[in-house]
Amino acid sequence: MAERIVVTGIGVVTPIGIGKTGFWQNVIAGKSGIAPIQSFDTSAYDVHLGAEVKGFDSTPYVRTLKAEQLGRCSQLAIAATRLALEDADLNPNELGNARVGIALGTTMGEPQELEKMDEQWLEGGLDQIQSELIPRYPCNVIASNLAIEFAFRGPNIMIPTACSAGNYAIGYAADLLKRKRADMMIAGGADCFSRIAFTGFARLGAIAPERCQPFDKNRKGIMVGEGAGILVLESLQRAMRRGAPIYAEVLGYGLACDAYHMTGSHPDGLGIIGAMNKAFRHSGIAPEAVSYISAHGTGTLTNDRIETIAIKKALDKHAYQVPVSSIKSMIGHTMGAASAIEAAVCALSIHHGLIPPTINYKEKDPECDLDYVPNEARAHRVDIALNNSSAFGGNNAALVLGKVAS
Amino acid sequence: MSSRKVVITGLGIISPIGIGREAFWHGLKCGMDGISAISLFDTSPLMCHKGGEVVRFDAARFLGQKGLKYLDRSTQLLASATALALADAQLPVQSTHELEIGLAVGTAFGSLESISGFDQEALKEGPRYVNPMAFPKTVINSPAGHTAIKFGLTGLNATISAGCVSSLQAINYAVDCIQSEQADILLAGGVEELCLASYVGFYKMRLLSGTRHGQEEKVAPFDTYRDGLILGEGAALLALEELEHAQARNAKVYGEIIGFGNAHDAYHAYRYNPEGAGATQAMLLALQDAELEPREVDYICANANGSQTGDKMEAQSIKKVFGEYASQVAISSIKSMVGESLGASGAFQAAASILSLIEGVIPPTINFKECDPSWELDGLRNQTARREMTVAMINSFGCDGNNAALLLRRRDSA
Repeated sequence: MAERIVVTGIGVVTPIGIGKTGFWQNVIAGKSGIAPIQSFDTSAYDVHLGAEVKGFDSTPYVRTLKAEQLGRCSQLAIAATRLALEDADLNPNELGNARVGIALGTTMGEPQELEKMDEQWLEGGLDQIQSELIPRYPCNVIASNLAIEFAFRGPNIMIPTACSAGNYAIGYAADLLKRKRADMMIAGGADCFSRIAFTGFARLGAIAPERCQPFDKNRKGIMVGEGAGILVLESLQRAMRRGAPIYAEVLGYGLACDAYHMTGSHPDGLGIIGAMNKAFRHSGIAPEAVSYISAHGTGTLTNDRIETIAIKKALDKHAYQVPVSSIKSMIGHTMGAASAIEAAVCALSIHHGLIPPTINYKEKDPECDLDYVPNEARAHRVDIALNNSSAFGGNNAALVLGKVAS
Repeated sequence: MSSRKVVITGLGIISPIGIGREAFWHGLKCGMDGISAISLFDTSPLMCHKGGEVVRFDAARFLGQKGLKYLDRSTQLLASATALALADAQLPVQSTHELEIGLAVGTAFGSLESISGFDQEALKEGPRYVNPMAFPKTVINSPAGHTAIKFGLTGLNATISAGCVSSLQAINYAVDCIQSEQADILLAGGVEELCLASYVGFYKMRLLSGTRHGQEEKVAPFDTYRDGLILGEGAALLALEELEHAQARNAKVYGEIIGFGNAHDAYHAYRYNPEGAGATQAMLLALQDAELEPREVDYICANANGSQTGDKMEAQSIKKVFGEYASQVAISSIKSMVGESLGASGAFQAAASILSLIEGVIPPTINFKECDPSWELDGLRNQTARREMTVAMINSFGCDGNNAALLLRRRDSA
């Protein structure tokens, strides 16, 4: 029998809270993290709001490395990792670090380093480019920085599959543990606020002017966000042996590609359905067993409509009985961190028996006719949570977490 | 490893020394020098001018002319390698529900020219005037996403970015996914484009050959002369599937992937750990994974790219792992011919190694004359050599401290 893999630590850095406890309180209270963007001047854009992690100070978290030599994404990831380790009741100095690995997702890597390089290049030519910027840009630096900060010497991998990257990383981290390539994995995703991403989504007309309202009839788009979500994963046996907190079990995951369009889902939701079906099969569960769906729910017209179609196809009639919510209504779209933070939400929903709301929900869309947990959190026993994610490139990843009977 | 054996049933290669498996192998066997003056961008403001550029690359030959101008260089390289890999593995060019094919692609920088280009256009023209069609190319998984669309690859689509170890990790990721039944057939490997932004980055870090002492730009892995790397580009993909799956469809089998090891030095963000702890550990883990003794490895396709510290670290780590046998095992670095292609390197090495095992030919390390005698790596040659071989080890050691080693076994002994 394959080893069972569990979540024993949660660390999040989000626009509505740093650390599991504050974040969870705000998610359940339905707090919005949307505000005018401070990272750069948006006066030349038509939209001005985003979901930044405001007032983030990495100094309490970055102890081995020097924060001023790191890109912002690495700083967010290090903070989330330190919080997750503390939450898991682990001291990195006491771990057998050769067997601790890292699997992270991201969309952009360290885009702010590249953006600085672009400014310098345009202003003064190649001579003006600071030599440190390029080595600090590619996304492997995030996982390498984590390895150095915490002296984790096990498998070290970055999976930049855009906005579904967190689910890819968590699923694969569980596989690595099952295959005994590591004893413990730091898994999740991180992305920092990126001018490139903001500009691109603005030009696609995909950014909402005022609020993110997934599944609402009048939804107008996404809110670009930033953050990091990290889970500590280990075998159930090991977790029980060391008396660790156990939030949930990683039951399985499924991946499928639309192979249809770079930015839009297949109109029939084939890839999303494929990922969910594979996740059910890989987890050994029936679709009827799902008690909560954390939706990809970006707030764009097409995503929310097609995701609804896909959920109905994969879950059949059960789709109408399952609460579906999107925390992107509160924290915006944190890109490569999104599905990792949402996986943390799934684990916490299972743990607390509470489901976060989809805020800003006012008017029902006849094409989105499921139970989206509008505006108010709900007490609800969650035995099995399904975490949906989709991404540019047609990458769909669905992760299944389950309750561990005590 | 699990009981499901994962075998290589096709190769797709776009390299500086040849396009397609046969041309690539011919180049390796002949010790072809793939390093030339870069034509893709203007290097005149710099002291370095050479690269392992894929010259005479006509993507239309593989992808058709239609829509080609919307695909950037990384994507053209990857999609062309995909066409070659599908053909070599005798797989349909459009996959079906009965035969779902996926992609696992390693890349260090992705389509950096597109990413930086998009940002610079927005800075110059203002954010309201940048071309929105160019935005999807700014995600690191853009080459893999575009390639999936081109060939209808509806299986899992993963991009792995771990610097120089990206493509070995992508190959192992594919093996893991096939063994855990997430996928039936995966094309796995890597892609990297030569572009000015990454070239300038390596140049400013003084990692390129020719940036010190006014020396000649030359890749001389393991040689006492070595003074840095030369960046290369290209794409290489291995068609991977479970052995029985391959047999059921009468596919030709090149060989089997039998082990993998990955370890991080946790030492410095862009400096090799001179102690080579991570490199040593990665090789040991791969041997353990394959349940092999060091003496059972016939050929090491080295990471060595001409770096002063990196090559020395690798030589000493090989000696630690292989002991006395280190002086007998065949070793070569194909980066002497193709350059350091970062996210594509490991896939080039894996393709070269499996062909070496099949042909019984050790590719040379060109530009190699002599190394530090204390390394005792007597297997290094600058000439092609013939030898009966069964198992190859492929090393990828990144200067960020990430280390990977992969083990392959020739087919008729698999």
